[in-house]
Amino acid sequence: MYDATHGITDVTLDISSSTSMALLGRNGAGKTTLIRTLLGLLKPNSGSATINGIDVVTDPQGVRRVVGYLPETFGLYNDMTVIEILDYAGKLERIETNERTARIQSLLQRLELSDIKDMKAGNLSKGLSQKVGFARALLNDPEVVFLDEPTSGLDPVAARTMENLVNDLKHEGKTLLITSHILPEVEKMCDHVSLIKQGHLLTTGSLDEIKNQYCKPSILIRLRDEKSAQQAINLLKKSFKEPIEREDNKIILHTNEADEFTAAINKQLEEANLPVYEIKKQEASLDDAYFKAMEA
Amino acid sequence: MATFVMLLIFASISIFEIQHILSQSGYTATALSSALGSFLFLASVFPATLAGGICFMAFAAERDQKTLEHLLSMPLSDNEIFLGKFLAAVIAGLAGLLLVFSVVIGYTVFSNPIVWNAPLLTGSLSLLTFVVSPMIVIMFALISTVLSRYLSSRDSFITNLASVGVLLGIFALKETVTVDALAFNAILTVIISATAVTLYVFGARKFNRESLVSRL
Repeated sequence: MYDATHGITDVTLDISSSTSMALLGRNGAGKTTLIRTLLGLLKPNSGSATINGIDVVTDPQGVRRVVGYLPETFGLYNDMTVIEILDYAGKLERIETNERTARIQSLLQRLELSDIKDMKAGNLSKGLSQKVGFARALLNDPEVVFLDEPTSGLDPVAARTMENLVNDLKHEGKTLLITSHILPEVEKMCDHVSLIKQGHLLTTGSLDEIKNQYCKPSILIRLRDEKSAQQAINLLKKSFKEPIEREDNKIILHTNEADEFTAAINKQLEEANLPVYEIKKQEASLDDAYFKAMEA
Repeated sequence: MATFVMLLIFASISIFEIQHILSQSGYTATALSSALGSFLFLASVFPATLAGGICFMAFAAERDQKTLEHLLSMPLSDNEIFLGKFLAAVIAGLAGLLLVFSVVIGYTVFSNPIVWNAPLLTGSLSLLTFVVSPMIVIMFALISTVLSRYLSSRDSFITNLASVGVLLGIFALKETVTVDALAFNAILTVIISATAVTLYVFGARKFNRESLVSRL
């Protein structure tokens, strides 16, 4: 694949249709480079990629016809109104006039932009600009959508709106490739994850597969005080081989068999006269998996 | 509106100079043709700058306002993007040139009691009006489009000013050297054509998205 100072190498991805794949990695890992390569904006030195059966290298224009793209940092023509921007983008997409007008009206309604359609882009807030950019990306009714940091810099309400839009697209059967640094949002928007580190693909799989690959679910047990927690650890270590951590009066036992172990642990601690204030199973989070993967 | 006013200002300067020459050397077609030969060249400076300015907007300003990446992700070929930007500037520049020339020629011909002792449109004036000036506009647009890929809007603006300086230098040279006007315009045509071809071969033909994206 593309190989430059901050390029990507050895990335093999297969994204099925109607899935939403998150592309995660640190700044400079190659996420944007990968997206630009898939759009045919950068030519790979070697390798191949197809989108909807269209070769990225030999037919980049064909690829761009079926892909919608929201770049990470993008601007709008400040002197143009929202509707003018969308109309101009539609003309560049070569969408026929009637069809273009219908799609613009539909997107304005869907993204709740109808009230500001005659407002100059220079007067829009970051959240509204992001919505206009999103509308522009969807104008060609793409089957595949690339969203580079779609919620970056947005306030929580605007981020939630964006999140809902992404989920709507997913349910409509669009294929999405999303980069983001906000992992809780990724968990809500994406069902598949690929981790990239320094231009190399670390792993790819479903959200649960990735979480389980790097982290185990855990059992959180809260006891009366630190002394009780330490006594509990000493006791549990005799029965369980799984790693156990302590944080103040809480202990965390990492295991794939959390459901089976919970009752047994509770019983064992009660019998040892170590009252359990709280015991619950904790699912592995993408956040934990990401940090473990990046540290590896 | 500002562009229109600037075009009229440049036309007015040329008219003022031509009127001055006619008042000195007599209101003959020969004198008018000679004066037009000098000052139509000067009048073409602003339309050329206009074309250059629009071309600077082509990529440098798109890059500065972060609209370039979206444009490049459109299903357009590299040639379509380049020609779209280039032709928009050339058409605007040529329209400006047409306006300025119409005002200058129209005013000086119809507001003066010209004695038609010779045809107005000499070989030299024809070459200047129909070849050299339009080619200057095209060359400005070409220079600007090619450089705009590499420069910021500010640097592009400075380059445009430098090009105007070169043009004014040529105008000064034209007024001082004692070469036949037709020969001078013919030489100028060859130089501008060679420059335009060189710019096209080494700049425009090598235009591609990758070089623009790598500078985002």
